[in-house]
Amino acid sequence: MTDEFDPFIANLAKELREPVRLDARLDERIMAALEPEVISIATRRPEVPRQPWYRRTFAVPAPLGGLAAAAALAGIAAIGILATRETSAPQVAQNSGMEVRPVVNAPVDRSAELQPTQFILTDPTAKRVVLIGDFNDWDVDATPMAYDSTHGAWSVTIPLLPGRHQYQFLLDGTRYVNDPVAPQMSGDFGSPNSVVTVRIPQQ
Amino acid sequence: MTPSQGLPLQNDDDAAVVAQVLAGETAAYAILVARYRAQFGRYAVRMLGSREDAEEALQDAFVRAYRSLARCDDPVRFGSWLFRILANRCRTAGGRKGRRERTFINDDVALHGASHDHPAERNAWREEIQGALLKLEPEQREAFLLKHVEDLGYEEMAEVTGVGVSALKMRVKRACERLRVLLQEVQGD
Repeated sequence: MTDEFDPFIANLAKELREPVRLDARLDERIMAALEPEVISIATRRPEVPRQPWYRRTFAVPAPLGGLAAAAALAGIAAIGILATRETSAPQVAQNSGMEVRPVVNAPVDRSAELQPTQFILTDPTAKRVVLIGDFNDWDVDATPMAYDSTHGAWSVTIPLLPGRHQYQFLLDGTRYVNDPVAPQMSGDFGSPNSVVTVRIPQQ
Repeated sequence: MTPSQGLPLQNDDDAAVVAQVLAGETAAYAILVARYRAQFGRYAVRMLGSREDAEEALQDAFVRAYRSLARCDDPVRFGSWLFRILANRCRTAGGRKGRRERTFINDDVALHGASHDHPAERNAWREEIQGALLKLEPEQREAFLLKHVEDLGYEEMAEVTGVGVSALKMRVKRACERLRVLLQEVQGD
């Protein structure tokens, strides 16, 4: 296969290189979308525990319930995603009139399918750990993790739609860490991300 | 790697702007938006066949890049990094839209820039080209646009798409063959 000049293809390319007219306010719209209040529902922290799922105690598989054992691991040792046995559909606050972009692959009306999903990272040396992923547009402020000094572990539980999600942990605002116990895949940004697959619980 | 003659994938000034944004001057991001919107927007329009969808993909790419800016390892190549995000968004959007009825680009998109003696004929021809382009498999359309419209070299295309050079060459070849068949049918009418 060679790249010989082809006048027919060259003519097509010339036509397709003509500039296109975009919305004159597109720049403005993009800059407005960067404002922190114009973000997806998944990035909005549950300010009050009004969501029923948030108040519940999740059943955690026994081996993972012992965070202390994992905390004994040297360096960073992630326990990963804990499958919950919660079977009732969790609820989230709906769009309250504010411009909200839909979660990737997740129309708002799928909120009843959201599954509470827990992430845990064991790293007693970190001062702050944030969960970032495609579910919160990789927002470094949206999903901070809480530290349990007893176990030396960071954890957070968030509602996720069934399907595959990419994520990482951001440590102290500078270190991006994959979950060592989760599978990885190549992400949009050229580096691998951890992957969690959320499934609808068996009834 | 031979730099692209088309898409602005590398710009020494980008590193300074990225540093400004990361230092807290978020308004400086508008410089990057203004720098890349036109050419990247054209790619998205050609790829998706709809200005509305293209603007949505472009906005999504800019927002994702902004929120992950600290992960841009080589700010001089911000354009390449942003384009990779956009190409991914176009693939996602293309798959989603492909199940619905496709919308051809608006007349004003086709009309813009037409300054020939017979603009109506030229506009019609351009619409035929865009229509034929949308009949290609998305990966062939992507490869054709990157190679022949955006003037990327195959190594750059491989970097952007994550697909091997030989596979890309095959996609371009098949895209050209298919376009020739589709458009020569039109010309023969």
